[in-house]
Amino acid sequence: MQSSLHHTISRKFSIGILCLLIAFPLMATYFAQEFYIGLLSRLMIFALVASSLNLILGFGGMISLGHAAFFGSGAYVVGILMQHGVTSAWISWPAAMLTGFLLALAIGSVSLRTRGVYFIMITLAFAQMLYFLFVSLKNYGGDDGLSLAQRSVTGLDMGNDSNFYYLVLAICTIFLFILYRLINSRFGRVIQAIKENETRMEAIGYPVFRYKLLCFAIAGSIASLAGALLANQNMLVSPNLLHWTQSGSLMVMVILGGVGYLSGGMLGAVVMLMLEEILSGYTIHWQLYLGIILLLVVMLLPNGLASLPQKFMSAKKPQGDQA
Amino acid sequence: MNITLLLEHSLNGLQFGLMLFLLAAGLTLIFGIMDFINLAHGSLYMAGAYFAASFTGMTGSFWLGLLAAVIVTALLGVVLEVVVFRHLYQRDHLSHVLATFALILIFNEGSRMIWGAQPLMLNIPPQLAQPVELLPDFFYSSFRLFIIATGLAVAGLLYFVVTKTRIGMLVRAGASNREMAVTMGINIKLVFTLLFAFGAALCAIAGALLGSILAVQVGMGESILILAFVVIVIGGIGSIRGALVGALLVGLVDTLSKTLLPGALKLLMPLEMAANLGPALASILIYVLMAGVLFYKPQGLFPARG
Amino acid sequence: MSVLQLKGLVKRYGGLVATNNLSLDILPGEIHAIIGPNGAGKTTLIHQISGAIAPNQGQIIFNGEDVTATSMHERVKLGLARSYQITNIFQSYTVIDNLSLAIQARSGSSMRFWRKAIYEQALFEKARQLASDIGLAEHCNSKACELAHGEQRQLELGLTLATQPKLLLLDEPMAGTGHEESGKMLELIAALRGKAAVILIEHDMDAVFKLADRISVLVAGSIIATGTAEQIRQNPEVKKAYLGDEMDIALKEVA
Repeated sequence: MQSSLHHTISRKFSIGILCLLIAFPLMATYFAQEFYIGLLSRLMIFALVASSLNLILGFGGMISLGHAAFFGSGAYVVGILMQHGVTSAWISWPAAMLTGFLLALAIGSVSLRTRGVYFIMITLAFAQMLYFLFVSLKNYGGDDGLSLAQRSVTGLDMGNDSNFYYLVLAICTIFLFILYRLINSRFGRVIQAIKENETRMEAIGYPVFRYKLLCFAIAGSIASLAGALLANQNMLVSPNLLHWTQSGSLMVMVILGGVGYLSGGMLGAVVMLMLEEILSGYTIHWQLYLGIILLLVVMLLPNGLASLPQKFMSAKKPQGDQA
Repeated sequence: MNITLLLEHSLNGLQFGLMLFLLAAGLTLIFGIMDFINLAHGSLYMAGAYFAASFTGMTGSFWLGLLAAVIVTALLGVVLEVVVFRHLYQRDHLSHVLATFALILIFNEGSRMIWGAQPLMLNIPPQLAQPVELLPDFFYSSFRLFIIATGLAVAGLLYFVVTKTRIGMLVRAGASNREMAVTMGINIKLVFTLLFAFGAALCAIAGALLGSILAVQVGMGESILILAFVVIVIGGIGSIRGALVGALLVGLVDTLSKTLLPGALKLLMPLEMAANLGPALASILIYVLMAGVLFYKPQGLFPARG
Repeated sequence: MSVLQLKGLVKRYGGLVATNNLSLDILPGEIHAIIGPNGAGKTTLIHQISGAIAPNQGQIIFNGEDVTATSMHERVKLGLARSYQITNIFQSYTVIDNLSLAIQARSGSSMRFWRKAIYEQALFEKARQLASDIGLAEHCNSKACELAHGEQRQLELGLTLATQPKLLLLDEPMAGTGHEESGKMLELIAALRGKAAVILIEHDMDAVFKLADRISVLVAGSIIATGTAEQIRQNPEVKKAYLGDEMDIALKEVA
């Protein structure tokens, strides 16, 4: 049965990618290119946070310019707890997720009463408020940010980049899979349908506000988890993680990858960060070229990178008919 | 806290507010009429500042530099509209966000490439370098007074154009009902291009004037851009009157809270805490103001759309 | 006992009184048409009954329960559902997806986060059945935006029916449908008689006289007459209100 509300993933493709990712650190170590292990950890972390934004933005139609608030808050929970002697990941990472969930619940309960550009501005406002709050906390680094004395304690040797990579890989795989099931569940259908026609959903009996709020909170909690991972990756938490330009950057990743496509967040994050990485290797003016590429994508690929396979398919069809 | 200090800060707030108005006016019209989210608006402001610094350096005259900057930035606005924006009007807001975000990157890096990474100096014209005695023992920078005067003049000009001329009527019609304006056969393409040029020109004026007081540097657009968006949301999207009132509110609240709040907090809490909390609270206050306005008037103070 | 009681409803927009001390009783299972000249306040009335807007004064009692302050989705759960004059469906979804969403609201909780909804055979079977009932059996997998206008109106009604309402508010269901297409709509609405109450807002007088058990006439925000088709036809107040209007012509034609 066809349904545009159901999103499939190619099992072969996913398993293939997963195998590659599992093999990667081994290959990197073999070729003495360990630096790239850290890069890939970073890619996966941003793939996770971008996917969490895609949940509310791409599938739910909630255009939030304040998602970085949850990303950064999660990182700060880890940093602050560590400063006070709580180093166990088993405590601080779930604490980060819980913080993100509650924060999103609070912000969402106010913001989701607005629409359109007002929603964008209110979410932005809350994120900026949190940004300034963290900047003012001199005890926790203030403007300069908070360094972590060590990575969170898990039982593994977290100082080893490979170990950390595999942990990040496991967590990201699990949570991206959770997002996949969520979107295809009853809840996910409702969320998508709310984006398509909110008034009608209300008129057929759905308490729309409740669904949006829960979705917003789930996304916030996953973003905070990603933030906790990033804090560990960088061993540093900066208030810039909460700045609106970070929210903007996340939004750009989702739009670039493809709004409302399962792989949108992943694709966008990976492509954007890889472009940054590759271009900055060639020229100090990489931002210029990144900007030009993004501009070209928005002009030529209205639905983002994830829509490329569809375009390829429909471009092939006419030739088949002529045969 | 004496009266003259309060007066000085208030005038500074007024001055900042009026410059914010120059940005907000263009932004509110572009968003209100074309439904186009332009994150690159701050970049035009930055471009205006950079051009002013360059041309002033080349010609030796602040005034020539300012004029040249306005013209060149307006042309830049036209180029952007024709090459990029025109193709995006039919697309959704997210496409606007992506495209204009890309432009921010291009503008920032472009400026670094042309003018280098160090901030540029833009000097106040010698004619306005001397402070003026407004009240006995109260001296105020004549350049800042000039900025206030310029801001008021632009506000007055805009008021005249929007309420008393035909093109102003078209703009207001477009702001309150875009589809209607188009179906009435107005050459909407030309109006849009002119609007962008005009918005860019206003940005250039603000950039040149504020650049002389602050600094001309990469990234100066981003910080003021957010304030400009807050202004138009407070004022009501599509309304110039709203942009003026909103800008004055934001300018005054921002300036006064940054200068007065730390002092006020010192009375309530230890010095160290006040020094940390003060600037943070001052920045947060703007957003609290916006949230407050939206609570009572969800469409802003003077919504253009009925 | 009435299925719906409107008591002294008042709705003001600034100086304009859209609903002026309106009272009305709807009997269970009846098809009750509300007619009136343009600007009489029909849509405002529907919005108040469905819960989209709140009245300034007055009460709305549904099956004995005061729902004046109840939210729209709560009213739908109680059995009060509306359809829209301007088609308000899920344009880019298929007919099955459209209907299954409405059915899903009534069959178990949607706070389910793991199981894939696409495997819910029962849900989609019900949707197919409903699609067949409303005459869209061949279009199950067509996108709503690809349907003809009349078919979209059928889908519009279908979405309302899927919520298993005890009272349907139909806002000009025949809007824009030509003579051939409206036949199916008439059939569907007539089939509701006895099973659910229907408030039918319509300009199509042909349909009104064919379907309605009782008719109320709404003029300037209040009901000036309620009765059978015959009573309304003879009512001098009604004739005055409609002088020269389409109803006048229709009255003359049908008489």
